[in-house]
Amino acid sequence: MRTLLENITLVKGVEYMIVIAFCFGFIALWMLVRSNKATKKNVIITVVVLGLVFAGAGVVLNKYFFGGDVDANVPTQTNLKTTPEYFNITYGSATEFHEIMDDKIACTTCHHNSVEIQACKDCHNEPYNVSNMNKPGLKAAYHERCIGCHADKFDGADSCVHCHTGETTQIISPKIHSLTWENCNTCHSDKDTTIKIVYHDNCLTCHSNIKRTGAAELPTNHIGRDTKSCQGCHISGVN
Amino acid sequence: MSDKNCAYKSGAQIVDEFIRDKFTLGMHPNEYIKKLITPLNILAGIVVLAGLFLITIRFIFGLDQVTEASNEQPWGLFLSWGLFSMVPFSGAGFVMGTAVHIFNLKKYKPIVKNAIFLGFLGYMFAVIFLMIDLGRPWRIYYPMVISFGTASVMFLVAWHVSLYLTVQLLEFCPSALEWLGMGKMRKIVLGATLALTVFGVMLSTLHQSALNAMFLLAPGKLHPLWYTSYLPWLAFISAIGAAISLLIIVSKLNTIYLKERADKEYLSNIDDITFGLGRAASFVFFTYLGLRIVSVTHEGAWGNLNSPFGYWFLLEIALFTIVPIMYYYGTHIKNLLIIRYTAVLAAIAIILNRLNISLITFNWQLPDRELFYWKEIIVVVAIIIIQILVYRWIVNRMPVLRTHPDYVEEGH
Amino acid sequence: MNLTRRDLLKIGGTTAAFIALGGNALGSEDFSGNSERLGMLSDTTKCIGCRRCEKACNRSNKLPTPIKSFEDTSVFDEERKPYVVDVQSYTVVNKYNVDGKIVFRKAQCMHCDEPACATACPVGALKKSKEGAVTWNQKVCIGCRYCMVACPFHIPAFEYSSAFDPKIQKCFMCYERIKDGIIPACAEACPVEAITFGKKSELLKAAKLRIWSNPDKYLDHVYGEYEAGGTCWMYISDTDFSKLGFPEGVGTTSYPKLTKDFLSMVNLTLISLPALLGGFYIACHKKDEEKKEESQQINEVKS
Repeated sequence: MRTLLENITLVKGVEYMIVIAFCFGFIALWMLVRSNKATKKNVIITVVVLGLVFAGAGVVLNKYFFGGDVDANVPTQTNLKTTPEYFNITYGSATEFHEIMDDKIACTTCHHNSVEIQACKDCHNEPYNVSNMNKPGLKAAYHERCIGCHADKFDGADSCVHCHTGETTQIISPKIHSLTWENCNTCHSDKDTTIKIVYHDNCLTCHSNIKRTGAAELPTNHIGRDTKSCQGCHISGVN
Repeated sequence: MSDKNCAYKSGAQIVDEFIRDKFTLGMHPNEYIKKLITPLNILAGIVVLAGLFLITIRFIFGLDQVTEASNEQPWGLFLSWGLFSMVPFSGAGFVMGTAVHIFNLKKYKPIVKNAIFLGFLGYMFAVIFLMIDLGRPWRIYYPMVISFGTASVMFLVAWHVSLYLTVQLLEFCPSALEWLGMGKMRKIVLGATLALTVFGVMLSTLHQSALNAMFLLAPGKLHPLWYTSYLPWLAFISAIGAAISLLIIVSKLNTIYLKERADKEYLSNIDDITFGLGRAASFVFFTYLGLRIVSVTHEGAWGNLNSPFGYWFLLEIALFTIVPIMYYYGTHIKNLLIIRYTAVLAAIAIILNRLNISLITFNWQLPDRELFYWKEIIVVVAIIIIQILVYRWIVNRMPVLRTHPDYVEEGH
Repeated sequence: MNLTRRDLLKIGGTTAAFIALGGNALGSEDFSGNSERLGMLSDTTKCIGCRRCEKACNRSNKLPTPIKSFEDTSVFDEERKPYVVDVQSYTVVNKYNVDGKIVFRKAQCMHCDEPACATACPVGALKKSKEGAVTWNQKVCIGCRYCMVACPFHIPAFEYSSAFDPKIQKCFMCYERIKDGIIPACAEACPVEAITFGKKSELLKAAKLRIWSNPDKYLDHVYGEYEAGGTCWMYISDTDFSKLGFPEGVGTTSYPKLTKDFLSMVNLTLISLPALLGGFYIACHKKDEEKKEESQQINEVKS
């Protein structure tokens, strides 16, 4: 099974060869018919030789175009994998998570499709598995479990900050900061690292009364945040 | 010219005589250069220099220096004018060659060489425009020998244009060889005239139509009033019409500006030839009009008339209606002036049609298109001027409008 | 006339043999393409417009850093083309506001099954690979830009600013990665798997299953199933496709068919014309020939 385009390419190539051979043949024929001097034998030999040459060229071109695998159903690699970075994401402890969600939804809402409680990565691994297209890979499984319920929060590129505050390969736990960051010094100068700069609504929505691991020890402890971790709260152009 | 009494000529003398005879029209080089400095020539020179400067810029800094081509509208004036508009007119070579060598219409013999030369010049400059416009012009020979995209219409165009350029060169050779005095070579080339003419017709038919057939691949982008599956045949027929119109115009201009290069046979027969051409042109354009109307009906596109592009289309059709009527009228009442003016109108109509297809109605749905960029216009005008200058240079020297005195008895 | 029946048979026989050689390729074959070819499916209901795909594409293909960062949402204010000028990206995500609803759509090369660009290319630089991606061969491209004229989706982008190495830029479905056994960058990067990657036949089935399972959610149309003769990149959506920036007039005919008829006529004409013109020549020169023969006979009588 080939494409129409391949077929046309091959056929046209052969046809053009035939036309060239035909033109020479026609000229020879014309000379034969119109002239009394040209020896018939020589002209016919020339025509036959030229014809064979072009037929041979046509066969060679056939091979050139398609290398012989005209009808073969060339298998392609369908077990393609992700790069190692896909799984390099450490998803952190779920303890936090469970505490928040504890009284809100049943366990099986997240731990679905299984009798026993399993970790997400026990079932969700490589994405785009041909045999089961409905099972997302790990990254999408994670996102869809959350976004599936919290769709109102996820309505555009800037909504990623609800969870992400840094490079995605960093430790992630709920409300960890990821995404891009420009310059910490916009807010924090060398000497002045007072809480004031980052300690207001944006921090306090997460880091206030309820204890959370990692980010609780503001401002000196930047666990979970890399050096470019300002814009998780400070959206450029807004605040 | 040469002093027959002197047995020895110094090398310098030989060179000097050669230059005078071949290049400076028999005058002393200084005299010749002085004669060249006329106001018109100076103006032409300025434009040509500007054009050459822009072309150099294009080759150093890229196409965006001289065009406003975008990724939606990749072809600008260079190709729309140089390739799509000029090539139909360059069909003069094959139209006259066929008329004289195949159909044996001896009446047109005086203008055959001129027609072939016009055709050759047209194609050569079409290739020059192409070289300017191609992204990698040093690879222009790739479709011929390196890699074949045989499913493409452009592959066909590339092959045909290169083969046809060779054919035209060989057809034009006799004039050049007469000028250089190489009789034997000339005889050999002349023997192949019939084969060359037939080959030329074969190639011409197909690449004239192929040039518009390229746009068959863009049905959504060409306006429905212009997109039709008959595009190739319309192109071919309009090419014949364009060739005839160009011959009418140029042969008249030659009798005014290059009179001293033409012989009696040419000058005395021009009027008669013009009538014949006018008659033929009326048939051709009438056929074209009929085909055009049928093609639009075939596509069911008449509903688009009541729109800006519809009015533009009506203008084009109006021109194409006036042209055959005027051609017929001119030949009927035997008025040369009408025929010549109609030829100009026909040329304008065909250029308009080709520009419409390749530039103006292409991507008609997209807003904010920039079609004509002033730098492109300068380059196009510069190259047209160069073309006219080359034409004049060659006709001034080579026996294009006349038969070379050495070969008169042969009747060529 | 010195032509004998034998000569005619010889020449006719050889011609017929040539035609047979080329003719057997024209049989009633099934042109459904390589059944193993890969494709991608975009689900616009899932896309959240995070532009991770753009970023991954940019990194993977080593494209220059964009002027506006990938987190800058002001880029959604205008409908961008995949080849954003000066930046040369291969894909963009555009935001559409359809009756108050926000929809994001990723635009890139559709990797048509019968690509118009590959049909147009006179040197065969653009080819439909057996893996399904439409690839570009830098070694033979002459920069004629006919592919840009032909593409119904306005995809191929040309480097007008380069005089010595102008490239045709478009999504190549991460062909190098696919050959190394890795999935395309955008598919790996999408956090919600709005882009699905796999065998085209499987994707088509999956898309239809998704539509069938959620009839209220999706429009019953897989864009790319038949458009332009079928494409390897398909879309399903809950919004009318014409409002998502797809060009008009794409049609469902595969593009090679549009010039196939003309190309067929070409060779027929090339073969018919010599005989036709030869006939005209003989017919129109008959009088001259007769005159020549008469004068020859007179000369012979004289001598």
